Amino acid sequence: MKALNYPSYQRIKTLTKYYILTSMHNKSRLFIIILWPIIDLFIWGFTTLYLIRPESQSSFFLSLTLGSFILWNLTIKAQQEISCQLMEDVFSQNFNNLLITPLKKGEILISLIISSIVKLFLVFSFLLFFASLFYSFNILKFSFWLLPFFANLLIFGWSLGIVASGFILRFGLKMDFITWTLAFMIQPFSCVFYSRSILPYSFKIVSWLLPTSYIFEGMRKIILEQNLSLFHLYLSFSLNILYLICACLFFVFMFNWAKKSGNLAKI
Amino acid sequence: MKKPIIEIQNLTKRFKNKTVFNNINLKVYSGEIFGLLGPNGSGKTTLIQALLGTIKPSKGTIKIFDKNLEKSLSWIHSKINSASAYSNLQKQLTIMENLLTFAGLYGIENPKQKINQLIKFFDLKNYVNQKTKVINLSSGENTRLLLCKALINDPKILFLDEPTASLDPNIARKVQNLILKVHKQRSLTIFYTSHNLAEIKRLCTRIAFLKKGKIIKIGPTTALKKLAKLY
Repeated sequence: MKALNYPSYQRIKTLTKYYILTSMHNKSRLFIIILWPIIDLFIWGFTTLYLIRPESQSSFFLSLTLGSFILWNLTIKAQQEISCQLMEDVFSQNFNNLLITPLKKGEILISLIISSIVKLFLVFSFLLFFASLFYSFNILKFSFWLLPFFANLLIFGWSLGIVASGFILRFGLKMDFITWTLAFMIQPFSCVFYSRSILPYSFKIVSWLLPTSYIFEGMRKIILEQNLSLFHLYLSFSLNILYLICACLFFVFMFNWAKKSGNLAKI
Repeated sequence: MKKPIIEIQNLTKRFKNKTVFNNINLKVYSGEIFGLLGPNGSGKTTLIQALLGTIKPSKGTIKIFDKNLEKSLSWIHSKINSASAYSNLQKQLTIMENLLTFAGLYGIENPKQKINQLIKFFDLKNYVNQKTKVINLSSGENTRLLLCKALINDPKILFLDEPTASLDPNIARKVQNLILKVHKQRSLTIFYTSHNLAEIKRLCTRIAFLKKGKIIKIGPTTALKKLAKLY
């Protein structure tokens, strides 16, 4: 009895081992432990490199950073709202019930997208309200061009969300880390807070393939040079349409694969 | 000759190197409660999921209402429904919100009226009035709610996958009584899986015994003697 009153080396050792084992078997935790800080290092490293350049010194710095932050959050939330909704049904063990209704795959995707718009409208309104209250940030500086930027980021977020959902359908909740991390994985290449010119060549190649990089480059051009690059806007839109089609095809492929592997019935 | 409402021909399902069931042939007729009996891991849930179209068989065909399941999936889904011990409704929503969602997906007219009839039948009215969320329901209440969901579209065939598996014997018996009552009232066809011999004997008109992915006995409940020895 006396021994129970004191910390036990055996119990601490066992529980420590248990916590380490749980972390090692949990991919999302492993990702957060290892990869997330590396991604953060890239983002803030490149941002610092960009900001110390003389040409980056601008009175528009606050607008640029806040604008980028708000718009990038739209991409993240658009992605997460789609895959989180699906995960919620998987957590509840309700997805199987939905699957045996007359629902079609396309109807699931369209409903996920529409519901994400409603939720994103709320997120966007709150962000704008607080940015305006605390930092006098005015989104209207982007004028009419906010709309195509906004639409492009949403579409890309949806594509990512659809891809993440495909992974969850096929591999179940062991792939939940994709939901939390997919958008962050591409953030260093999306040039959210810095210009593409700051990136090393290998990173530049990836960023050329991402519509988000053209949007943020375009946004900086509007604020710093009052000049809109329509070419970048068209390019990002074309890439977005291509990726959205690919994401939908990927979802259908994963859905069918999950049906074959039996995972669709399990989630 | 009576036409089967469900017809399974040479159905096989393999996952990588494991054969879950092999060359299954089965006919279920309108109005019967067909029991699929078998020990845990015998392939009952995989077979019922194949019948629901959420698992693609490796070989063979499934016909429901004389239509190929794969080709007419949406149409067949509008005429069938299911409840399983391994599923739940959305836990964050209330009973009414969940049932209204499913009523919408099946395109039910006057959904509230329909839902009120069902929750009265399954004795869930108090929970609906209190706006109870699904997460706060007990296993027995949850099973009754799943049965409400399963009857919302007035299905012609009801697939029940071990619906009483997580219930204590008293509650399980109450649920069985409700199933028998529903069957009598609506002259439904029910495809029922269970590992519980007594339950299957009590409910079903015909039984197939599934073991290691093969049907080793099939026939009317009364004709199948010494089923317990097959386990």
